[in-house]
Amino acid sequence: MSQPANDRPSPLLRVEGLRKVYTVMRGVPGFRRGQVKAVDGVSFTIEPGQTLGLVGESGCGKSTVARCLLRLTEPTAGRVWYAGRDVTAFTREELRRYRGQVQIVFQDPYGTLNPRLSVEYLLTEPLRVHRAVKDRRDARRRVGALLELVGLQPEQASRYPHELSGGQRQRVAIARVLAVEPRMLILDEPVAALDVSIAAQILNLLADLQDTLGVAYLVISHDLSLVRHVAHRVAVMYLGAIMEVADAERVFAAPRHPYTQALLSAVPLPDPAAERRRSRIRMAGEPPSAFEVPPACRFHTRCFKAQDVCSREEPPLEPVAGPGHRASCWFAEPMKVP
Amino acid sequence: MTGPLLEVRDLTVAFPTPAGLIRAVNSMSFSASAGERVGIVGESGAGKSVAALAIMRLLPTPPARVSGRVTFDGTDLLGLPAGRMRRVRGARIAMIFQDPVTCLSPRLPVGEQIAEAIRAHRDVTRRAARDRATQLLGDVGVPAPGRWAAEYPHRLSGGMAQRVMIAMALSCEPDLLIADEPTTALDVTIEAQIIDLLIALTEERGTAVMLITHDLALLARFAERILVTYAGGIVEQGPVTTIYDHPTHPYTWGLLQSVTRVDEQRRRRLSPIQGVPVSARAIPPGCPFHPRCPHARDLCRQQVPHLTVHAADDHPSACHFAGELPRPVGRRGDGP
Repeated sequence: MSQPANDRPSPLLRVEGLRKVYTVMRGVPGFRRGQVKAVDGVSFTIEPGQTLGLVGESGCGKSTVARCLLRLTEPTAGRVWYAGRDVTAFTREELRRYRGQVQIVFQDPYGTLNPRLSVEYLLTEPLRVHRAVKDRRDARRRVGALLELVGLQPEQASRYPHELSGGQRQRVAIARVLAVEPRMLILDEPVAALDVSIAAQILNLLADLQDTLGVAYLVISHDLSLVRHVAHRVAVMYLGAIMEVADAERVFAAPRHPYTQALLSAVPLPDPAAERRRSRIRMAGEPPSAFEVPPACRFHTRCFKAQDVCSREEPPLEPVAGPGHRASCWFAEPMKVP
Repeated sequence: MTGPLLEVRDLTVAFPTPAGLIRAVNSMSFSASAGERVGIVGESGAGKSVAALAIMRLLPTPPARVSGRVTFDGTDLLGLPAGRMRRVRGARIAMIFQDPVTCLSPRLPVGEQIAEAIRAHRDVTRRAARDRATQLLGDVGVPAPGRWAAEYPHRLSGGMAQRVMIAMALSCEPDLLIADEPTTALDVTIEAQIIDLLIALTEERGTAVMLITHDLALLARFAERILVTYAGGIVEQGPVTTIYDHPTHPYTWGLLQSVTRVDEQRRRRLSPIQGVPVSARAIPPGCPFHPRCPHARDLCRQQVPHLTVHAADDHPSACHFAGELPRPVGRRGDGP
């Protein structure tokens, strides 16, 4: 097993050339077979205790990346390294332990909690599965500590999911993944199903947990304002590939890729005066389907900067301003998005 | 036209349940003028969608009990016979919803469905209705409208389906369009296109648009006037800049402080409102917001505040202490 070359000291997670291709029967008549390249060569790293925001529009493959990282879906190609070890080569037992260390929280807290189990049972279950408690007394103590950690009352241990509000359910879902002391959480649209005031409470909780536990986050979202709020680094995906990746400040203050620029300019600000002053970058046409990813640069059909070369050759994802900032564009120029 | 196009007075919608009467909308009053862009913002359970359905007379009565007055262009809608209401609905007031695909029949090409809506209100030939449908699709920014008119809904993306819904809503040139979370299911770039389209509608055709949403940033882009709703009532209303720059209701402040913004610094500490939105099943006595309000005093627990312009203030707010409370520091109601 060869170690990948490091440009930073030992990342917690390193993803290299991740691909996931689905073969599908398209339409009933004729059974035409098609291929969907849901994830088409994605690479990134996540440092311990840091947050990577993976942002993109629906269907760009960001959730498939999350599933591949945990091998909930087997990747077609590529490697995932966790703490220097190749996840794609893990045995069953290694995989079980790995899934204790890297956990996932989904968007819908209604769908992830079994309605027939009490909060206490829901929190004890991962402890048992990962053999993290000695006995029942120890389990009870841990459940109490977990509830406190996520800002719930001890008496809520006896409740069932339907007796909790959406925000409380998401807290339980977070407590559940924290039970076995993971080093990384994958948060797939963690607040998209919640009301504005509740979402803010959960975001504060996630920030506190990262500070106290040093856990790393991979935040997957379509919401650029949310990613701006939580992420140290940001990767922008479009049709299965990363268009731009850099420190959050750089992506938002001086984006280089036209897709990032167009996306940012579309996000509304809660500020009427600023909104009146802003102008927008308009993307041409409709988003292509994942069945028909345009050749060469996959963004060229909608890009306001597209030239001939963009439809002939695929631009590599390469450094554009220092080693930490990479963009996949032949004309990557910085631009202050209004 | 003199006076507002739509005038809603003391609109109340209640549903009887075994546990008693639930008031989903509690005495809401507001208006919309021709060509105006009104934003209604609130969290889930605030009653904003129920109010819209009541105005459209789309709530089954019974069980719903609707009271108050809804005057549209001089006509009292709530007292209108069902047959005459059908001539208003769709023709003069149209509505679009969050999930456009479920609003379309899967069995008919979208052009046919728009033509059907036209023929429901206008005495035109099938052919003319179909041509008009294609033209409308072009108007709302559907490329190659002739081709798309022949497509079935399952072939449409969310943004395209919402454009079809807007085309259908516009088919009889309504004076008022009610849009209930029309972009919530859409990507941000498509959302921006739909909002542009709605703004153009008010400016070019003089259609009034009422946009219902939970998204404060979206309303900053769209609305001229904002109604903030909570627990079935309006807690504050005014011009968009006033509401964002000088909110006087603690709930509005709380909302503004809860939102993340794409132009902010990482990890700015949010100051969310404590607790959860109240359920219409258990509205607390006094000010419905008092259990979550950092400024609540005895008066708030006892007496319901009414939406009025307070002495020290320039726009109506349903807070006993509006205009007296210390404003949160930072720009635009944001925390430091």
